[in-house]
Amino acid sequence: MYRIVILAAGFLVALGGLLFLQGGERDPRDLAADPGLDAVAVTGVETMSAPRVTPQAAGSDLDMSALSAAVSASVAPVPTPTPTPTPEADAMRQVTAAVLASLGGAGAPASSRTGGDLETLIAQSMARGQSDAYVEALLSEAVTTGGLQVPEAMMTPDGRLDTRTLLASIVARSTGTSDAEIDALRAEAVAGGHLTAPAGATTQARSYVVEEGDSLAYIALIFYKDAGQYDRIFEANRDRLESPAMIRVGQRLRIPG
Amino acid sequence: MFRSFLGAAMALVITYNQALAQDVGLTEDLSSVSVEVAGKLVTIERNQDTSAQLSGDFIKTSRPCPPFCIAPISAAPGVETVGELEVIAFLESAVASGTGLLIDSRLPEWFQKGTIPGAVNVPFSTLDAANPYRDQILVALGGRNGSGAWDFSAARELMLFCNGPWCEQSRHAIDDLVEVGYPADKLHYYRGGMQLWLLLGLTVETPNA
Repeated sequence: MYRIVILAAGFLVALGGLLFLQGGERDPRDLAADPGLDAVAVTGVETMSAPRVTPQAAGSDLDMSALSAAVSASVAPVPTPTPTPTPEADAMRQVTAAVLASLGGAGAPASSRTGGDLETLIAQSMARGQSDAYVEALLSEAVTTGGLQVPEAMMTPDGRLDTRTLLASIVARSTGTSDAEIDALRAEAVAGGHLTAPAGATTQARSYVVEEGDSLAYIALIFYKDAGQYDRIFEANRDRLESPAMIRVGQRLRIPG
Repeated sequence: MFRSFLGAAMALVITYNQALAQDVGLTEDLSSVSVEVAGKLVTIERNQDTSAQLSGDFIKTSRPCPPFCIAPISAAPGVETVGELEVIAFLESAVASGTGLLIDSRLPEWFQKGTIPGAVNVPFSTLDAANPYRDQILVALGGRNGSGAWDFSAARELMLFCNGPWCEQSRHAIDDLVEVGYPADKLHYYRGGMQLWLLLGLTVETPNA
């Protein structure tokens, strides 16, 4: 439970920070079309038979892009495509955001009714004392349904999102005191017998055998305490890795010092 | 002997009463269907009031054509046209398992007024090539855009509907999807739409109620 609270706090702080940073980059027209105002009245699109976007849906667009940015930033800077905003595009963006929000719930009018966006859902589930596994499932689902873009280094051999590393990195970024979280992961790795160095110490292991559920970002996190350094491992293993997402269970990877 | 006869008679009475409990079934053997969609239980049954009639937006016989013209049975080559029982079966199989989506292709204000339980709203206009953000939706549907060409081999099965046989929106959506390369065998068209769904007294969900 304590861990969940830390995660919740970290996640929300990270999101808040990103929302704040993003504020500077937003086009004034975005603000004009903010929740509460009628998107159609602002942009006057005729071709679409006047779509109306609920404030909630427009809000979740912002959250989603902040979330995507949080995920990207926690591993490596991945530029988010931002098409040139025209009035039509702005209206379309909002309708599209509403669509993406409902698809993000994998066909869930239910979830859009109870608050909709992922951030709210995660906050709600944490408040209700849901398990880490549930929150991880939520994140995972957001990725598989395309609501969230994740760097390849966060993918596990079976093609799933490495949520433990993602959550740990988000906490690390937001609080700056990530050692406890990372040490916990390292301890797990030692207990699992695939990391020889004791938790907390600089590891002496020069290679690593990929386990189920690992991602390059995870390996970078337990060796370098920084998921963003996955690139060092990827570069050192270029001969056996086609892409950062293509690691296989049982594969031995070189870990540069 | 007498006791077992009484037992059988009682059992018959009980079954008969259960049959009476639902006057208006989906089919002869099926009174209602419950499906879990995204963690929420959705029940589809018919209005049990045998004197109920249509009201509101769906009692008109004549709307101006164009645009409200009569839709052909087939939306596009290779795209299967389905009826209500297939919609329900699709909810039970593909939607419940997450491999398919029931798509209300009408504009959001119509969707908000009432839709088929378990449907998601993807307005037809968002699937038009003119939407600069369309790619994000195609990705959310499971499409992958590798080197300029879309790969929909892992994409979800879609069943689209709109207001009914006088509505062209789902056909526009299907046309746009086929044009961008969505496989026709992953697309289904519920031509009856809201008009026939309501006419049969089937359960309607109001998304934000």
